[in-house]
Amino acid sequence: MTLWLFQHQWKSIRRSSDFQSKVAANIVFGLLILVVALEFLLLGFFLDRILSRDLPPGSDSVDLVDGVLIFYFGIDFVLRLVFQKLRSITARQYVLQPISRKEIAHFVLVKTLGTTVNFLPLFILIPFFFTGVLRIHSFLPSIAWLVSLLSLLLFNTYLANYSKLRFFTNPIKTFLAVGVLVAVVLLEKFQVLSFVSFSALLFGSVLHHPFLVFAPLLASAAMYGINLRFLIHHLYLEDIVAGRNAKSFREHFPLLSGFGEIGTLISLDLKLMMRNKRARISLWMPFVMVFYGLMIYQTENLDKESAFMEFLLMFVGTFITGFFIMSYGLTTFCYESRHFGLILTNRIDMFTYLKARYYFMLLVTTLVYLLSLFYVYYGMRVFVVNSLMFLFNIGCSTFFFLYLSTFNKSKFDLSGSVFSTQGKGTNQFVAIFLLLIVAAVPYLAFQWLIGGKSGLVGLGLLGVLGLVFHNQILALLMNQYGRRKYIMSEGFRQT
Amino acid sequence: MIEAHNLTKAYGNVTVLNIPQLTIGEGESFGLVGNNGAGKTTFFSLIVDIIKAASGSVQSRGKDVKMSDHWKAYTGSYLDESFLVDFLTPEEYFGFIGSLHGFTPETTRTRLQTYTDFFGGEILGKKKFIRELSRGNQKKVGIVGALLPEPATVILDEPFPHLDPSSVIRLKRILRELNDKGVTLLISSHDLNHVTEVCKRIVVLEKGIIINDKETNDNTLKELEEYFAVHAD
Repeated sequence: MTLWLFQHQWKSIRRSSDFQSKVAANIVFGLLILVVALEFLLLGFFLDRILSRDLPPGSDSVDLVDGVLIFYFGIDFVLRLVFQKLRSITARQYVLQPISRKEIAHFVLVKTLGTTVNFLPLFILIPFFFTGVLRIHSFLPSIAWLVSLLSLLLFNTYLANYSKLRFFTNPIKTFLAVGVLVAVVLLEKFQVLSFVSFSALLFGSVLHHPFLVFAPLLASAAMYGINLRFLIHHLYLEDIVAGRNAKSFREHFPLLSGFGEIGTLISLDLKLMMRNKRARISLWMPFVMVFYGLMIYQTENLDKESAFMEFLLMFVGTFITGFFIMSYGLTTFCYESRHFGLILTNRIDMFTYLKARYYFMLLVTTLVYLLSLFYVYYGMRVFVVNSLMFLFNIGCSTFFFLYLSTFNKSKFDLSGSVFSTQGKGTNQFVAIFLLLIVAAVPYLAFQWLIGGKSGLVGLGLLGVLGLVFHNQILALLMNQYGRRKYIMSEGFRQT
Repeated sequence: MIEAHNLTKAYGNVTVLNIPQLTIGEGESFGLVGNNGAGKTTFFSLIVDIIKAASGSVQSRGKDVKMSDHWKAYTGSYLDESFLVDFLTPEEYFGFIGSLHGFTPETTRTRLQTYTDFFGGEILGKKKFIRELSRGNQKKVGIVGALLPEPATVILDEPFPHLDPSSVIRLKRILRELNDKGVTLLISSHDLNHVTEVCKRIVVLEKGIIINDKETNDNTLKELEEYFAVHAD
């Protein structure tokens, strides 16, 4: 019986409308994982040799590994709180079927195990077990050590699952968990408390008293049991589907209502982004990306005159202010896929509709630009480049991404995972790459014709032109939108 | 009011709708019946221009709906959930539609009072998003959203399923009253009973083709039932 639950899973993947793009994404992702796995494998094989080079007297490589394990499991747990998916939603369609709750709960819990966080560490652990642990210790204690680590991985998986189900239901609490972890690291660093020696003692004891292996084994089994019991009692539709409800949202945008239809449309999109998990990222990421420059500017010699440096500064400048355009601009129509019928049939002038999108991007991008003014600290050059790229973004990137967004025609699941690629027809990375090519043409033309700094200034000027003639450009875009709207509408209607 | 000329829609090689000529007059109450796949939703979707015809055109008040947006000012429609904005509360949703038509929040509130009975105390003031409402209540929100701007033409696809019995009766009363005031109604339904009660003209679609088009009289319901009974054998 449980077998066909898994068969359904496979069919739901195989038969989804964007299976091909998923396969492509998964191949890329799979290759990445493979490379990481290979690196881990190599690290696992040579870990013993690397660690054995300069050991403190009286210890071995396994002791060193034992010493950091507590941090590993701590970080592992926090990462799981953030990334590990709750699988109970997959049980939704089976709750009503004549399948015992226990069976569904087992199914959900087994599915929870399927995450890379559980497989990747094995690539280090297993080779190190053969080359390191077995070299130093005898067979039985080594096995006990390995089994306890594997049990702890299971324990962490289900502890995180249970915590997410019961306690860590909002992000703030997750931040708290991160805070605790940071505190632990700081305590270690300032030698207030030594978690390293505690960890070494804890995991070392299994090697000296192999029967201790039953402690983690029992703990993980107990944790599985607790999860199972909880799920059996809570696999009701209302528990599974419950999201954030209307009571937690009371926002109003009185300022926007002064701007007529454009204000109405912008406030609708603002609500869309605030109330749907997957779209929310478009709203807060731009304000995080402002600080992206800090990573680059600190390490580079910003006064260096070279083509590469100019390219780097332009690239960074585009991202600092342009992230909202790249995220919202590209998904603007498919974010609305669930209520596209309303958009098409209600009294919304299509030109105003596009204009609202443009003004919204203009508004947020300008806010982000104002926030980014602190970069003047890194000198005038950074300031000038960023300002020119801001102009380029609001006058050119905006229209470019709006144009590309008319090619997204699959229904967008707003409640899905933040990292899912579902419904994003045009890949963001491809779009950004295309933008770079589009920007390179006028840039190189100016450089070739006039030379000097003209390429950069030219891009800024193009931005100003775009801003001045935005009504005309939007009218052109409206034609494109008129051609594509039936294709989008039919695509959005397919579930 | 609404005219279709040589209207066809095809998916691949399969023609799902083929209407050489159909005219729906001002103030008519037009009922569309047919089994699943007969093309009812396709026809309505073409009228509100959310899908593209393979050939032919739909005209509303003499102008092609593809070429102009004029019809949006006097046409209220609810075909499916894509006409709802599920992350809004019903109040916000009605406010949004109202503001598109230039209503003040006061006007919207006043107009909503007309539907207090229809809502049955389950829609307004509940602090719930539309996505948290039951199917029946979602449908009520969608239908009232279509009626709120007091349009001259109302297009509803399958308005009766999911509604509770009292709401069905209220909705039929609302629709008949609207029609008495001169509003043109286009309603599709699987339920022959309801549609013959509301509509004075019934058109039967089968595999995309109009096979019957007549005024409702005392025998209509019986005739329709006989027609569909034959198809069930």
